[in-house]
Amino acid sequence: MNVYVYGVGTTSFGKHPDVPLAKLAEDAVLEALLDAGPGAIEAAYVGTVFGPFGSGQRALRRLGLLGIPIVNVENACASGSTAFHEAFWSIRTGRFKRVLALGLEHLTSRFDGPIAPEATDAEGRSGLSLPALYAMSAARYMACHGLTDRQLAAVTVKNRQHASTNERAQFRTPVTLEQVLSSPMIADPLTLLQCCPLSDGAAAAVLGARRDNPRDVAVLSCVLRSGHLWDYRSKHVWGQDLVSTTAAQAYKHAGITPDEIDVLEVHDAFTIGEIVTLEALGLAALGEGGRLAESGVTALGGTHPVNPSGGLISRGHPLGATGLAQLAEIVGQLRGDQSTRQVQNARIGLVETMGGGVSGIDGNACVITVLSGAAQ
Amino acid sequence: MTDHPADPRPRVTASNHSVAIAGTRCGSCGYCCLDDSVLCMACGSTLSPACFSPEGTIWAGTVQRIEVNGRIPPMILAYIDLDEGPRLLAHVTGKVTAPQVGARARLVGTTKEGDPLAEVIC
Ligand SMILES: [Zn+2]
Repeated sequence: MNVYVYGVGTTSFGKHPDVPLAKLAEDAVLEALLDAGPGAIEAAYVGTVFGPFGSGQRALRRLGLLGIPIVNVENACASGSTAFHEAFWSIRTGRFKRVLALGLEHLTSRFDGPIAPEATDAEGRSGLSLPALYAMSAARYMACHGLTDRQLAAVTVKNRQHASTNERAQFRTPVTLEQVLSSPMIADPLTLLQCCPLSDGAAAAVLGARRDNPRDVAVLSCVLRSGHLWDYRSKHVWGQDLVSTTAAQAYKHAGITPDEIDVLEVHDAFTIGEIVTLEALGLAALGEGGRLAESGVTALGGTHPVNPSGGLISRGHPLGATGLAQLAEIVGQLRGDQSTRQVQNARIGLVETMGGGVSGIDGNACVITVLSGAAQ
Repeated sequence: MTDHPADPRPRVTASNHSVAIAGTRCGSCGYCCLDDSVLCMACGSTLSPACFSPEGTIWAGTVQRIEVNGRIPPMILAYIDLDEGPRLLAHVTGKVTAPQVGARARLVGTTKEGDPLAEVIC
Protein backbone atom coordinates (compact mmCIF):
# COMPACT_ATOMS: atom_id res chain seq x y z
CA MET A 1 0.00 0.00 0.00
CA ASN A 2 1.57 3.31 -1.07
CA VAL A 3 1.42 6.03 1.57
CA TYR A 4 0.62 9.71 1.08
CA VAL A 5 0.61 12.77 3.32
CA TYR A 6 -2.88 14.27 2.97
CA GLY A 7 -2.37 17.27 5.20
CA VAL A 8 -0.02 19.00 7.64
CA GLY A 9 -0.42 21.58 10.39
CA THR A 10 1.78 23.40 12.88
CA THR A 11 1.68 26.06 15.55
CA SER A 12 4.09 28.94 15.51
CA PHE A 13 7.28 27.93 17.32
CA GLY A 14 8.77 29.80 20.24
CA LYS A 15 8.20 30.43 23.92
CA HIS A 16 4.50 30.08 24.70
CA PRO A 17 4.57 29.76 28.51
CA ASP A 18 0.92 30.77 28.91
CA VAL A 19 -0.52 28.51 26.20
CA PRO A 20 -1.47 25.04 27.46
CA LEU A 21 0.11 22.10 25.64
CA ALA A 22 -3.33 20.77 24.65
CA LYS A 23 -4.16 24.09 22.96
CA LEU A 24 -0.95 23.99 20.92
CA ALA A 25 -1.72 20.42 19.89
CA GLU A 26 -5.31 21.28 18.93
CA ASP A 27 -4.16 24.14 16.68
CA ALA A 28 -1.72 21.88 14.83
CA VAL A 29 -4.17 18.98 14.53
CA LEU A 30 -7.06 21.17 13.32
CA GLU A 31 -4.88 22.69 10.63
CA ALA A 32 -3.75 19.23 9.49
CA LEU A 33 -7.32 17.86 9.47
CA LEU A 34 -8.60 20.82 7.42
CA ASP A 35 -5.68 20.47 5.03
CA ALA A 36 -6.37 16.75 4.59
CA GLY A 37 -10.10 17.13 3.95
CA PRO A 38 -12.97 15.06 5.33
CA GLY A 39 -12.50 11.47 6.45
CA ALA A 40 -12.37 9.47 9.68
CA ILE A 41 -9.07 9.20 11.56
CA GLU A 42 -8.62 5.55 12.50
CA ALA A 43 -5.60 5.82 14.81
CA ALA A 44 -3.23 8.44 16.26
CA TYR A 45 0.51 8.20 16.94
CA VAL A 46 1.77 10.91 19.29
CA GLY A 47 5.40 11.82 20.07
CA THR A 48 6.67 13.85 23.02
CA VAL A 49 9.69 13.74 25.30
CA PHE A 50 8.69 15.73 28.37
CA GLY A 51 4.90 15.81 27.96
CA PRO A 52 2.69 14.33 30.70
CA PHE A 53 1.61 10.69 30.62
CA GLY A 54 -1.33 10.25 28.27
CA SER A 55 -0.13 13.20 26.18
CA GLY A 56 -1.97 12.00 23.09
CA GLN A 57 -5.25 11.46 24.90
CA ARG A 58 -4.93 14.88 26.60
CA ALA A 59 -4.21 16.55 23.26
CA LEU A 60 -7.03 14.89 21.32
CA ARG A 61 -9.78 14.82 23.97
CA ARG A 62 -11.35 18.18 23.18
CA LEU A 63 -11.26 17.43 19.45
CA GLY A 64 -13.31 14.30 20.06
CA LEU A 65 -10.64 12.11 18.53
CA LEU A 66 -11.30 9.34 21.01
CA GLY A 67 -12.20 5.68 20.98
CA ILE A 68 -9.49 4.94 18.39
CA PRO A 69 -6.07 3.47 19.13
CA ILE A 70 -3.88 6.30 20.49
CA VAL A 71 -0.21 5.37 20.81
CA ASN A 72 2.21 7.61 22.74
CA VAL A 73 5.86 7.30 21.74
CA GLU A 74 9.16 8.72 23.05
CA ASN A 75 12.47 8.64 21.15
CA ALA A 76 14.23 11.79 22.40
CA CYS A 77 14.41 14.48 19.69
CA ALA A 78 13.16 11.96 17.13
CA SER A 79 9.88 11.35 19.01
CA GLY A 80 7.66 13.15 16.48
CA SER A 81 9.48 11.45 13.61
CA THR A 82 9.02 8.10 15.32
CA ALA A 83 5.28 8.81 15.61
CA PHE A 84 5.28 9.57 11.87
CA HIS A 85 7.25 6.38 11.17
CA GLU A 86 4.70 4.27 13.05
CA ALA A 87 1.83 6.07 11.29
CA PHE A 88 3.51 5.44 7.92
CA TRP A 89 3.88 1.71 8.55
CA SER A 90 0.30 1.40 9.80
CA ILE A 91 -0.88 2.56 6.37
CA ARG A 92 1.84 0.77 4.40
CA THR A 93 0.90 -2.59 5.90
CA GLY A 94 -2.80 -2.00 5.35
CA ARG A 95 -3.72 -1.89 9.01
CA PHE A 96 -5.46 1.52 8.67
CA LYS A 97 -6.68 3.75 5.83
CA ARG A 98 -6.19 7.18 7.45
CA VAL A 99 -4.21 8.07 10.58
CA LEU A 100 -2.86 11.07 12.46
CA ALA A 101 0.76 11.66 13.51
CA LEU A 102 1.28 14.36 16.13
CA GLY A 103 4.32 15.78 17.90
CA LEU A 104 4.11 18.16 20.84
CA GLU A 105 6.30 19.75 23.48
CA HIS A 106 6.06 22.48 26.11
CA LEU A 107 9.63 23.00 27.25
CA THR A 108 9.15 26.39 28.93
CA SER A 109 7.05 24.72 31.61
CA ARG A 110 9.82 22.18 32.25
CA PHE A 111 13.13 24.04 32.00
CA ASP A 112 14.47 27.53 32.72
CA GLY A 113 17.77 26.89 30.94
CA PRO A 114 19.31 23.98 29.09
CA ILE A 115 17.72 20.55 29.23
CA ALA A 116 19.00 18.72 32.31
CA PRO A 117 21.11 15.62 31.59
CA GLU A 118 19.63 12.35 32.86
CA ALA A 119 21.07 11.55 36.30
CA THR A 120 20.65 7.77 35.92
CA ASP A 121 23.00 7.88 32.93
CA ALA A 122 26.78 7.74 33.54
CA GLU A 123 27.63 10.73 31.36
CA GLY A 124 24.52 12.62 32.38
CA ARG A 125 25.47 12.21 36.05
CA SER A 126 28.88 13.66 35.23
CA GLY A 127 27.13 16.76 33.90
CA LEU A 128 27.59 16.26 30.15
CA SER A 129 25.03 18.42 28.31
CA LEU A 130 24.00 17.86 24.69
CA PRO A 131 25.76 21.05 23.52
CA ALA A 132 28.99 19.71 25.08
CA LEU A 133 28.56 16.34 23.34
CA TYR A 134 28.14 18.08 19.97
CA ALA A 135 30.97 20.48 20.84
CA MET A 136 33.34 17.52 21.13
CA SER A 137 32.32 16.43 17.61
CA ALA A 138 33.14 19.96 16.40
CA ALA A 139 36.48 19.90 18.22
CA ARG A 140 37.29 16.57 16.62
CA TYR A 141 36.40 17.92 13.16
CA MET A 142 38.58 20.97 13.67
CA ALA A 143 41.55 18.82 14.64
CA CYS A 144 41.09 16.05 12.07
CA HIS A 145 39.48 17.76 9.07
CA GLY A 146 40.44 21.43 9.41
CA LEU A 147 36.87 22.60 10.08
CA THR A 148 36.89 26.32 10.94
CA ASP A 149 34.89 28.50 13.33
CA ARG A 150 33.64 30.46 10.34
CA GLN A 151 32.37 27.29 8.61
CA LEU A 152 30.44 26.39 11.76
CA ALA A 153 29.00 29.89 12.05
CA ALA A 154 28.00 29.89 8.37
CA VAL A 155 25.38 27.25 9.19
CA THR A 156 23.62 29.62 11.60
CA VAL A 157 23.89 32.57 9.21
CA LYS A 158 22.27 30.51 6.42
CA ASN A 159 19.49 29.09 8.57
CA ARG A 160 18.66 32.48 10.12
CA GLN A 161 18.43 33.94 6.64
CA HIS A 162 16.08 31.12 5.63
CA ALA A 163 13.87 31.71 8.67
CA SER A 164 13.59 35.43 8.00
CA THR A 165 10.42 34.96 5.95
CA ASN A 166 9.02 32.00 7.91
CA GLU A 167 6.35 33.62 10.04
CA ARG A 168 6.20 30.54 12.30
CA ALA A 169 9.92 30.53 13.11
CA GLN A 170 11.20 31.47 16.56
CA PHE A 171 14.12 33.62 15.30
CA ARG A 172 13.51 35.63 12.12
CA THR A 173 16.26 38.23 12.38
CA PRO A 174 19.27 37.57 10.15
CA VAL A 175 22.67 37.49 11.87
CA THR A 176 26.24 37.95 10.64
CA LEU A 177 29.20 35.60 11.02
CA GLU A 178 30.70 38.07 13.49
CA GLN A 179 27.54 38.10 15.60
CA VAL A 180 27.48 34.30 15.70
CA LEU A 181 31.14 34.06 16.65
CA SER A 182 30.98 36.82 19.29
CA SER A 183 27.89 35.44 21.05
CA PRO A 184 28.61 33.82 24.44
CA MET A 185 30.54 30.53 24.38
CA ILE A 186 28.33 27.61 25.48
CA ALA A 187 30.67 24.66 24.96
CA ASP A 188 33.91 25.35 23.07
CA PRO A 189 33.80 25.87 20.08
CA LEU A 190 30.00 26.24 19.96
CA THR A 191 28.62 29.70 20.74
CA LEU A 192 25.08 30.53 21.84
CA LEU A 193 23.89 31.35 18.31
CA GLN A 194 25.06 27.89 17.18
CA CYS A 195 22.66 26.17 19.56
CA CYS A 196 18.94 25.59 19.11
CA PRO A 197 16.66 27.49 21.50
CA LEU A 198 14.20 26.19 24.09
CA SER A 199 10.84 26.07 22.29
CA ASP A 200 7.19 25.17 22.66
CA GLY A 201 5.01 23.97 19.83
CA ALA A 202 3.14 21.20 18.06
CA ALA A 203 2.98 19.81 14.54
CA ALA A 204 0.78 17.18 12.91
CA ALA A 205 0.25 15.23 9.71
CA VAL A 206 -2.61 13.16 8.30
CA LEU A 207 -1.50 10.13 6.28
CA GLY A 208 -3.44 7.70 4.17
CA ALA A 209 -3.55 5.40 1.19
CA ARG A 210 -3.60 6.61 -2.42
CA ARG A 211 -6.64 8.73 -3.29
CA ASP A 212 -5.41 10.64 -6.38
CA ASN A 213 -5.53 14.10 -4.86
CA PRO A 214 -2.90 16.26 -6.64
CA ARG A 215 -1.90 17.99 -3.37
CA ASP A 216 -1.06 14.69 -1.66
CA VAL A 217 2.65 14.07 -1.19
CA ALA A 218 3.94 10.51 -1.61
CA VAL A 219 6.13 8.97 1.10
CA LEU A 220 8.74 7.00 -0.86
CA SER A 221 10.42 5.58 2.25
CA CYS A 222 10.56 6.02 6.01
CA VAL A 223 13.27 4.31 8.07
CA LEU A 224 13.84 4.27 11.84
CA ARG A 225 16.99 2.96 13.49
CA SER A 226 18.60 3.13 16.91
CA GLY A 227 22.33 3.50 17.41
CA HIS A 228 24.85 0.72 17.96
CA LEU A 229 27.48 1.04 20.67
CA TRP A 230 29.58 4.20 20.36
CA ASP A 231 32.94 3.52 21.98
CA TYR A 232 36.70 3.25 21.49
CA ARG A 233 36.17 1.22 18.31
CA SER A 234 34.15 4.02 16.64
CA LYS A 235 36.08 5.90 13.98
CA HIS A 236 33.44 8.56 13.42
CA VAL A 237 31.99 11.26 15.65
CA TRP A 238 28.85 10.61 17.64
CA GLY A 239 25.78 9.85 15.52
CA GLN A 240 27.44 9.85 12.11
CA ASP A 241 27.33 6.10 11.59
CA LEU A 242 23.69 5.94 12.68
CA VAL A 243 22.62 8.61 10.19
CA SER A 244 24.58 7.03 7.33
CA THR A 245 23.21 3.51 7.88
CA THR A 246 19.66 4.86 8.20
CA ALA A 247 20.14 6.94 5.03
CA ALA A 248 21.46 3.98 3.04
CA GLN A 249 18.31 2.03 3.83
CA ALA A 250 16.03 5.01 3.13
CA TYR A 251 17.65 5.62 -0.27
CA LYS A 252 17.39 1.92 -1.15
CA HIS A 253 13.70 1.71 -0.24
CA ALA A 254 12.95 4.94 -2.15
CA GLY A 255 15.08 3.94 -5.14
CA ILE A 256 16.93 7.27 -5.20
CA THR A 257 20.48 8.59 -4.84
CA PRO A 258 21.46 11.66 -2.77
CA ASP A 259 21.97 13.69 -5.98
CA GLU A 260 18.26 13.48 -6.72
CA ILE A 261 17.16 15.26 -3.54
CA ASP A 262 15.96 18.80 -4.20
CA VAL A 263 15.34 20.01 -0.64
CA LEU A 264 16.15 18.75 2.88
CA GLU A 265 15.23 19.42 6.49
CA VAL A 266 17.91 17.97 8.80
CA HIS A 267 18.70 17.94 12.50
CA ASP A 268 20.76 21.09 13.13
CA ALA A 269 20.25 21.21 16.91
CA PHE A 270 23.83 22.54 16.84
CA THR A 271 25.73 23.81 13.78
CA ILE A 272 28.11 20.86 13.74
CA GLY A 273 25.04 18.57 13.59
CA GLU A 274 24.06 19.86 10.15
CA ILE A 275 27.64 19.43 8.88
CA VAL A 276 28.07 15.86 10.14
CA THR A 277 24.56 14.89 9.02
CA LEU A 278 25.00 16.14 5.45
CA GLU A 279 28.17 14.05 5.14
CA ALA A 280 26.30 11.03 6.48
CA LEU A 281 23.50 11.67 3.98
CA GLY A 282 26.06 11.61 1.15
CA LEU A 283 25.95 15.29 0.19
CA ALA A 284 29.63 15.73 1.00
CA ALA A 285 32.62 13.46 1.56
CA LEU A 286 33.79 12.76 5.11
CA GLY A 287 35.39 15.91 6.52
CA GLU A 288 34.16 18.11 3.65
CA GLY A 289 30.75 19.08 5.09
CA GLY A 290 32.02 22.38 6.47
CA ARG A 291 32.27 23.77 2.94
CA LEU A 292 28.58 23.34 2.11
CA ALA A 293 27.05 26.28 3.99
CA GLU A 294 30.13 28.43 3.46
CA SER A 295 29.99 28.03 -0.34
CA GLY A 296 26.22 28.45 -0.66
CA VAL A 297 25.49 24.90 -1.85
CA THR A 298 22.94 24.42 0.97
CA ALA A 299 21.41 27.92 0.85
CA LEU A 300 18.13 28.72 -0.89
CA GLY A 301 19.18 29.14 -4.52
CA GLY A 302 22.02 26.60 -4.10
CA THR A 303 22.00 23.12 -5.62
CA HIS A 304 20.90 21.37 -2.38
CA PRO A 305 18.96 23.78 -0.13
CA VAL A 306 19.02 22.55 3.47
CA ASN A 307 16.68 23.71 6.23
CA PRO A 308 14.63 26.25 4.24
CA SER A 309 12.37 26.63 7.32
CA GLY A 310 15.33 27.90 9.35
CA GLY A 311 16.04 24.50 10.91
CA LEU A 312 16.04 23.73 14.60
CA ILE A 313 18.44 26.63 15.17
CA SER A 314 16.00 29.27 13.88
CA ARG A 315 12.55 27.71 13.54
CA GLY A 316 12.96 26.34 17.07
CA HIS A 317 13.28 22.88 18.61
CA PRO A 318 10.22 21.76 20.58
CA LEU A 319 11.69 18.24 20.85
CA GLY A 320 8.71 15.97 20.20
CA ALA A 321 7.21 18.38 17.65
CA THR A 322 10.37 18.86 15.63
CA GLY A 323 10.14 15.87 13.28
CA LEU A 324 6.63 16.78 12.18
CA ALA A 325 7.56 20.47 11.86
CA GLN A 326 10.36 19.39 9.50
CA LEU A 327 7.88 17.19 7.60
CA ALA A 328 5.38 20.05 7.27
CA GLU A 329 8.08 22.23 5.71
CA ILE A 330 9.04 19.60 3.13
CA VAL A 331 5.40 18.81 2.28
CA GLY A 332 4.89 22.56 1.69
CA GLN A 333 7.99 22.66 -0.50
CA LEU A 334 6.86 19.69 -2.61
CA ARG A 335 3.45 21.32 -3.09
CA GLY A 336 5.07 24.61 -4.12
CA ASP A 337 3.36 26.45 -1.23
CA GLN A 338 6.35 28.15 0.44
CA SER A 339 6.34 31.48 -1.45
CA THR A 340 9.48 33.48 -0.61
CA ARG A 341 11.41 30.45 0.64
CA GLN A 342 10.16 28.05 -2.05
CA VAL A 343 12.78 25.84 -3.71
CA GLN A 344 11.98 26.03 -7.43
CA ASN A 345 10.74 22.78 -9.01
CA ALA A 346 11.29 20.76 -5.83
CA ARG A 347 10.22 17.19 -6.58
CA ILE A 348 12.11 15.03 -4.04
CA GLY A 349 12.49 16.03 -0.39
CA LEU A 350 14.13 14.46 2.65
CA VAL A 351 13.55 14.78 6.39
CA GLU A 352 16.18 13.60 8.91
CA THR A 353 15.75 13.69 12.68
CA MET A 354 18.24 12.51 15.29
CA GLY A 355 17.58 11.83 18.96
CA GLY A 356 20.28 11.35 21.56
CA GLY A 357 21.12 11.38 25.22
CA VAL A 358 21.85 7.79 26.28
CA SER A 359 25.58 7.47 26.94
CA GLY A 360 27.58 4.80 25.13
CA ILE A 361 25.32 4.47 22.11
CA ASP A 362 25.48 6.21 18.75
CA GLY A 363 22.10 7.97 19.13
CA ASN A 364 18.77 6.93 20.60
CA ALA A 365 17.06 7.05 17.23
CA CYS A 366 17.39 8.40 13.71
CA VAL A 367 14.42 8.67 11.35
CA ILE A 368 14.79 9.47 7.66
CA THR A 369 11.83 10.04 5.36
CA VAL A 370 11.97 10.54 1.58
CA LEU A 371 8.99 12.23 -0.06
CA SER A 372 7.95 13.17 -3.58
CA GLY A 373 5.47 15.72 -4.87
CA ALA A 374 2.81 15.33 -7.56
CA ALA A 375 5.24 16.38 -10.29
CA GLN A 376 7.05 13.08 -9.71
CA MET B 1 11.43 7.73 45.16
CA THR B 2 14.86 9.24 45.58
CA ASP B 3 16.64 12.26 44.15
CA HIS B 4 19.90 10.30 44.05
CA PRO B 5 19.52 6.96 42.30
CA ALA B 6 22.43 4.51 42.40
CA ASP B 7 25.56 6.10 40.98
CA PRO B 8 25.94 5.05 37.31
CA ARG B 9 29.42 6.55 36.83
CA PRO B 10 32.56 4.46 36.23
CA ARG B 11 34.32 3.37 39.44
CA VAL B 12 37.72 4.96 39.89
CA THR B 13 39.94 3.24 42.43
CA ALA B 14 42.87 4.97 44.09
CA SER B 15 45.42 3.46 46.46
CA ASN B 16 49.05 4.27 47.30
CA HIS B 17 49.76 6.65 44.40
CA SER B 18 48.12 4.37 41.87
CA VAL B 19 44.82 5.13 40.17
CA ALA B 20 42.84 2.65 38.08
CA ILE B 21 39.34 2.27 36.77
CA ALA B 22 37.11 -0.76 37.11
CA GLY B 23 35.16 -2.35 34.28
CA THR B 24 34.72 -5.58 32.40
CA ARG B 25 36.47 -7.45 29.59
CA CYS B 26 35.03 -10.10 27.27
CA GLY B 27 36.91 -13.39 27.31
CA SER B 28 35.58 -14.21 23.85
CA CYS B 29 35.97 -11.06 21.70
CA GLY B 30 38.10 -8.87 23.97
CA TYR B 31 35.57 -6.02 24.15
CA CYS B 32 36.25 -3.68 27.09
CA CYS B 33 33.76 -1.46 28.84
CA LEU B 34 33.30 0.47 32.05
CA ASP B 35 29.84 -0.92 32.77
CA ASP B 36 29.36 -3.72 35.28
CA SER B 37 27.27 -5.56 32.68
CA VAL B 38 26.71 -9.31 32.82
CA LEU B 39 26.94 -9.98 29.08
CA CYS B 40 29.28 -8.55 26.46
CA MET B 41 27.50 -5.74 24.61
CA ALA B 42 29.48 -6.59 21.47
CA CYS B 43 29.08 -10.38 21.23
CA GLY B 44 26.85 -11.60 24.05
CA SER B 45 29.47 -13.76 25.78
CA THR B 46 30.12 -13.76 29.51
CA LEU B 47 32.25 -10.90 30.86
CA SER B 48 34.93 -10.89 33.52
CA PRO B 49 35.77 -8.01 35.86
CA ALA B 50 38.76 -6.00 34.71
CA CYS B 51 40.84 -3.12 35.96
CA PHE B 52 42.20 -0.61 33.44
CA SER B 53 45.32 1.48 33.82
CA PRO B 54 44.87 5.27 33.95
CA GLU B 55 46.60 6.52 30.81
CA GLY B 56 45.06 7.28 27.46
CA THR B 57 44.61 9.67 24.54
CA ILE B 58 42.10 12.51 24.23
CA TRP B 59 39.46 11.69 21.58
CA ALA B 60 37.96 15.19 21.96
CA GLY B 61 37.45 17.80 24.64
CA THR B 62 35.44 20.91 25.42
CA VAL B 63 34.77 23.46 28.12
CA GLN B 64 31.13 23.45 29.18
CA ARG B 65 30.32 27.04 30.19
CA ILE B 66 26.69 26.64 31.21
CA GLU B 67 25.22 25.40 34.47
CA VAL B 68 23.41 22.07 34.19
CA ASN B 69 21.95 20.06 37.07
CA GLY B 70 23.46 22.56 39.51
CA ARG B 71 27.00 21.81 38.30
CA ILE B 72 29.00 25.03 38.36
CA PRO B 73 30.72 26.08 35.12
CA PRO B 74 33.24 26.10 33.64
CA MET B 75 33.64 22.31 33.46
CA ILE B 76 36.48 20.92 31.37
CA LEU B 77 35.34 17.66 29.80
CA ALA B 78 36.97 15.11 27.53
CA TYR B 79 36.46 11.70 26.05
CA ILE B 80 39.64 9.73 26.74
CA ASP B 81 40.41 6.49 24.91
CA LEU B 82 42.25 4.53 27.58
CA ASP B 83 45.28 2.61 26.36
CA GLU B 84 43.75 -0.64 27.57
CA GLY B 85 40.39 -0.11 25.95
CA PRO B 86 37.34 1.83 27.04
CA ARG B 87 36.39 5.36 26.05
CA LEU B 88 35.80 7.35 29.22
CA LEU B 89 34.09 10.70 29.79
CA ALA B 90 36.19 12.52 32.36
CA HIS B 91 36.47 15.93 33.93
CA VAL B 92 39.90 17.47 33.38
CA THR B 93 41.94 19.56 35.82
CA GLY B 94 44.13 22.51 34.89
CA LYS B 95 43.66 25.63 32.84
CA VAL B 96 40.23 26.39 31.43
CA THR B 97 40.75 25.39 27.83
CA ALA B 98 39.49 22.47 25.75
CA PRO B 99 41.89 19.50 26.00
CA GLN B 100 43.50 18.98 22.60
CA VAL B 101 42.52 16.05 20.37
CA GLY B 102 45.34 13.50 20.46
CA ALA B 103 46.93 14.78 23.68
CA ARG B 104 47.97 12.25 26.31
CA ALA B 105 46.00 12.19 29.55
CA ARG B 106 46.01 10.33 32.85
CA LEU B 107 43.29 9.64 35.41
CA VAL B 108 44.14 11.18 38.77
CA GLY B 109 41.06 10.36 40.86
CA THR B 110 37.59 11.83 41.14
CA THR B 111 36.11 15.32 41.45
CA LYS B 112 34.49 16.22 44.75
CA GLU B 113 31.15 15.41 43.06
CA GLY B 114 32.45 11.91 42.22
CA ASP B 115 33.23 12.23 38.50
CA PRO B 116 36.31 10.56 36.97
CA LEU B 117 39.03 13.23 36.94
CA ALA B 118 42.02 13.35 34.57
CA GLU B 119 44.93 15.60 33.77
CA VAL B 120 46.57 16.30 30.43
CA ILE B 121 50.17 15.06 30.47
CA CYS B 122 52.51 17.75 29.17
ZN1 LIG C 1 32.47 -10.09 23.47
